[in-house]
Formats: sequence, structure tokens, C-alpha cells
Amino acid sequence: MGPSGSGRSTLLHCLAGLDSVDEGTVHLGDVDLTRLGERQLTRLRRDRIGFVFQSFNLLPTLTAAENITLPLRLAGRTIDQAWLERLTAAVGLGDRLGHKPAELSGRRAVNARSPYGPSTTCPTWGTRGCRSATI
Amino acid sequence: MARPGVGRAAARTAVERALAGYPSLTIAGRDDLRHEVSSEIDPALRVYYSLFGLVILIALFGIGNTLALSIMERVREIGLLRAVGMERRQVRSMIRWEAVIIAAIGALVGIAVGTFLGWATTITLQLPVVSVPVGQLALFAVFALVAGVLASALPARRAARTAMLRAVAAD
Repeated sequence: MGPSGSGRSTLLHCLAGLDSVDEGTVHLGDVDLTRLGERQLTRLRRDRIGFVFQSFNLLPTLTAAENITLPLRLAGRTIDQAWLERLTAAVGLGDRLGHKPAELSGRRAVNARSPYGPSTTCPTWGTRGCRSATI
Repeated sequence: MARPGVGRAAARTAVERALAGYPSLTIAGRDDLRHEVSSEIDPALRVYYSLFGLVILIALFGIGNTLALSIMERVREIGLLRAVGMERRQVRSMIRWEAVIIAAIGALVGIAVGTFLGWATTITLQLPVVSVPVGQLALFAVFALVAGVLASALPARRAARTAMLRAVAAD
């Protein structure tokens, strides 16, 4: 996907609504991100984009389950327990939901956070350190 | 003792007339005594209240400073929260709650210690009545919480402006 320094991260930041573009437009489905205000952009990130950060970026004070459901809690939505169980079982976290990030492999929890609800997963570091990159 | 139905002024005139021949005696009603004692205590209270105001001011800066520092340390955390969808409004509210909790803990400990010391002083001085001004204490507690909210205003604004990319950027 391009050598280091080629703007991979910047592109991903723009695609995920974390950064703004100087020119051109970014579309997610029917939505033009460049036309959204700060607040709408925040809600879009919360509701539709899942982030897989290179350096995990889990909150150390929250348990795995709380980290995974964080965007939902920020949105004030109720959490579908069955969904959560299925999801965490899929990434092999099922029995460790009450653990803090320091006690588990960060990658699993990060991966669980991304597909929960959001329609798009955005690894913000491109392909390094990961076998497949999906945008 | 005045008979029931006799007014205060009337009773006083009667007493004055009866004691006219004894110039060394002074007449003092309950109000006079109360006034006399308060005039001794009031200046001290005024000093305490001005100290109290000063302490609140210092506490305000203390809380504000603590929050500002903790926000600087948590740039990554706050940026991450913003990235996964915490709105600016929610960031501000989070910081405000932190300030209120700090203020509440301070107020609770302060009121508990202060009440205990007041009680201990009353016992030591062998004053007959231990009086706890509950209403006043409650008012001060509310005051402390409001002060906490005020103290959080600037740090909260700053936290809400945290740059997300600094948190998210790989390092």
C-alpha cells in the first residue's frame, strides 16, 4: 500500500473522519464527510467507523467488555448482551471480558471493538504489523 | 419575673423604676445579653469568614490546576475517547464531574473534621450546648460543589479541544 512516509496514515485519518482534507471530498456510503460539522463527524465515527489502532489504544481503567462497548455507551444505547457474547467468542475473548487490558492480548479486544456495530473498520496504521488491511 | 401579658417595654420601665435607687446595677434583658455577647464574637466570625473565602479561592485554583495537569497527562486518553465518538460536550461534562467529585470529597472531609473540632472545642470549653448548624453546613457543601464546577470551566474547555490525531498517531 505504499512505502513509509507516502501518506498512508494521513489518508486513513481522512477516511475515518479524524482529519480534514484540504481539497476533494471523502464519501462514506452516501455521506460526504467533508460537508459534516465537528459534531456530526464525531457521531459518524461513533456509529459507523470501527478503529483498529496500531498501538491498541485501549483505556487501561476499563475492562475488555467496557472497552468494546465504549462507543455504544457514548451513544447512550443499550448493549445487546447476546451480540457481545457472540462477538467476543469469535475473537476468543469470551471468558476474559472482566479483565483489564493489561491482563490480556490487546489485539483481540481492539479487533472486537471495531466490528461491533460500525460498518467500516479502519486500521489507522495501514498494513504494517497486520496480515490483512481492510478499509 | 414579669406576669404574662405585661409587655417587654412595660416590664423594663417597672424594673428601672424599682431599681432607681441603686445606680450600680445595670438592667439587661435577654436581647441585651445576646447583643453584648455577639458583639464580642462577631469580629472573630468576620475574620473566619474572610479566611473561609480565601480558602475557597485557593481551593478553586487547586482543583483547576490538578485538572489541567491531569488533562495534559491524559491527552492520549481523551484523544482516543474523541476518536471513538465522544462528543466535545461529553468531554466537558466528564471533566466537570471530576471537579465536582474532587470538591465533594473535599467538602465532606472538611465538614466532618470541622464539625468534630467544633464539638471538641465546645466540650473542652465546657460550654453547655453543642450546636451543629446543619443548614449552614449544607449550604457550604453546595457552595463547594458550585466552586468545583467553576474551577473546571477552563480545564474542561481545554480538554474538549484536545487534538485527536496526537492521540491516535502511531508512536
